[in-house]
Amino acid sequence: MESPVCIKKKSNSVKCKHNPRRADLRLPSICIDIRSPASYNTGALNFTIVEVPDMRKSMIAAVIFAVLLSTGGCSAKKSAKFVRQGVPKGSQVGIIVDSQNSIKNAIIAKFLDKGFKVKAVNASDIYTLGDHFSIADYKYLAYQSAESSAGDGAESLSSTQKSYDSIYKLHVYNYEANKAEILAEMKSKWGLRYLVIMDLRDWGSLSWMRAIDLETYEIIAVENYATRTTDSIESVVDHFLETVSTQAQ
Amino acid sequence: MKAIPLLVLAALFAAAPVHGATVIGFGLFENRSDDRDLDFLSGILINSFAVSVETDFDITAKKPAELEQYLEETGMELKGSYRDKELYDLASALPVNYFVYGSFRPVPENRIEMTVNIYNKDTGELFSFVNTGKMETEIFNLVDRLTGIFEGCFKEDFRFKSDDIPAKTKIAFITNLDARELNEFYMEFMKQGYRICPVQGNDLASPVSAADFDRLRHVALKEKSFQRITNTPPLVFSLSQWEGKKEITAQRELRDIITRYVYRYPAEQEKVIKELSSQYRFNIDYLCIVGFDESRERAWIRGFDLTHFDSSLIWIESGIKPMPSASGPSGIAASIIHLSGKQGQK
Repeated sequence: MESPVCIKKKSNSVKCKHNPRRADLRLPSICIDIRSPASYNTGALNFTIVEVPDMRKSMIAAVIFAVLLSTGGCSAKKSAKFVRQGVPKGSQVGIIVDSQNSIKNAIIAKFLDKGFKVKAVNASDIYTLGDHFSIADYKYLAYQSAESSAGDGAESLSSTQKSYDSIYKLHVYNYEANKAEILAEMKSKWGLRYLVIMDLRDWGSLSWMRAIDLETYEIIAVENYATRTTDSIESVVDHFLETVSTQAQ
Repeated sequence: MKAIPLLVLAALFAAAPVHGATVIGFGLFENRSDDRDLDFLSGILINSFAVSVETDFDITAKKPAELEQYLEETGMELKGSYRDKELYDLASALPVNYFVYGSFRPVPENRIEMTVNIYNKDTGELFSFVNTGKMETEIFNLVDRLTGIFEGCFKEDFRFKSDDIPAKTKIAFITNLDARELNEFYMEFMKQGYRICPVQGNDLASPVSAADFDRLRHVALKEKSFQRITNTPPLVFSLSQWEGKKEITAQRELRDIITRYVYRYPAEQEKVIKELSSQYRFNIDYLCIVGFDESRERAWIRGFDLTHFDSSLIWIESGIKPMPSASGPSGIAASIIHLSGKQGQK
């Protein structure tokens, strides 16, 4: 984006002080180059640059406002972390991240580089019951069976509500119990000691990470990280790796 | 003629409590034992509760004799236990905000076991609990203790808490937060030395939809429950001479489902929570269900103590707001930590 106050002349061009290597062009680049009044004689073209003090103040105010606005926007997505204990190098670590295989490979490579022994766990390994059976469907079925066997349909609908509520609640508790059983299997089958769960998001969102010690069944580290414009997948994973490798706070 | 409008107005207000004042109606405390010599205790307990409640809190108590006049032509009666629809209809006919009733029976070692039910007519919620104390000289200590429990039950934001959740214990949470909010929530507890068990924290997303999460608000274990009462009529399974074996089998199956998930639900819930605890190798001291509203500035909590063989419901509270120093999930977490150490109603 060309600054409105950068003036290019035929033979004596003014260079804009912007970073041509900016990774993300979504942020506007602002370049200010205010010259004192002068006259230039290029021969073919004569023109005078006149300083306009009000314009400069307006530009400075606009820059400050833009910086404050962007800072305010970013603070809505706050980075924060807490580490109860780190994951020692050489530990057997399972990684859960819902991404394409190429990205998973890049993440695994990073962990291997750091000295961890890695097993990539597919998100589908901890399958959700919702994928296979929707409790909401059961509600409809329960109403249908109640209608056929218990007289007036309208009364039956309301009468089965309580059992539906109870079934749903037990479904939630059972789901968590089933997951715990799967975690225990992962630990025993694959010899995992730690589980690291990550969700990597684009600039403007929060990526997050959680690390679990499968020996004590405790969460040992959590982090929300506001992905920066200069971040890539590798840099975010590097950041999380640094967190999980940190000693306790 | 002039009296007619007055009578109409009086009738209109008959079933409504006094505006601006909380009114508690006390029904019967039924003697569930065969020892009729203990029947006198019913009157003593009701009178003691009514006096304590009026003295300690700014509310009006109505005793059974006052309530019976409203039931004369309805065919309903005051007793120690009710089916859902019976309770709903009875409370609708009474000019009260809350209806309290229950039962008692003697148990070994000269003790008395009381079952107390507190029904909130406005919200339709019923809180039931069992409390045991010594007979004779300590009966009035029992009344005082129960009155202390009542205090939180008659507030706009319900509160019952019988035990603290100390720091450095192991807590598991089930919430309706998304992953990032859950991290914020966990961080507050971890900073204060709590150890978080990864129930709900061990996958990418929660399986509980926001719309359905509210169902977890109502919980029931054998000795305590917090449920919603509706005026649903009982199911009637009618059979005619043309019903065959297939139809009878289908109806029995449905009856078994209703029995298991409605009438025996507390036992089922207790079984499942024990199973959850055992899967984590009994590494969970407390299980807390925390529901947030959409703004994340208000929450409710249901806390279970899993450290004893019989899981116990120790905390029921609504209307939790964030601490002044923080907002959102971390503010609510700070508030829960602050409240978890407050002396409970024993």
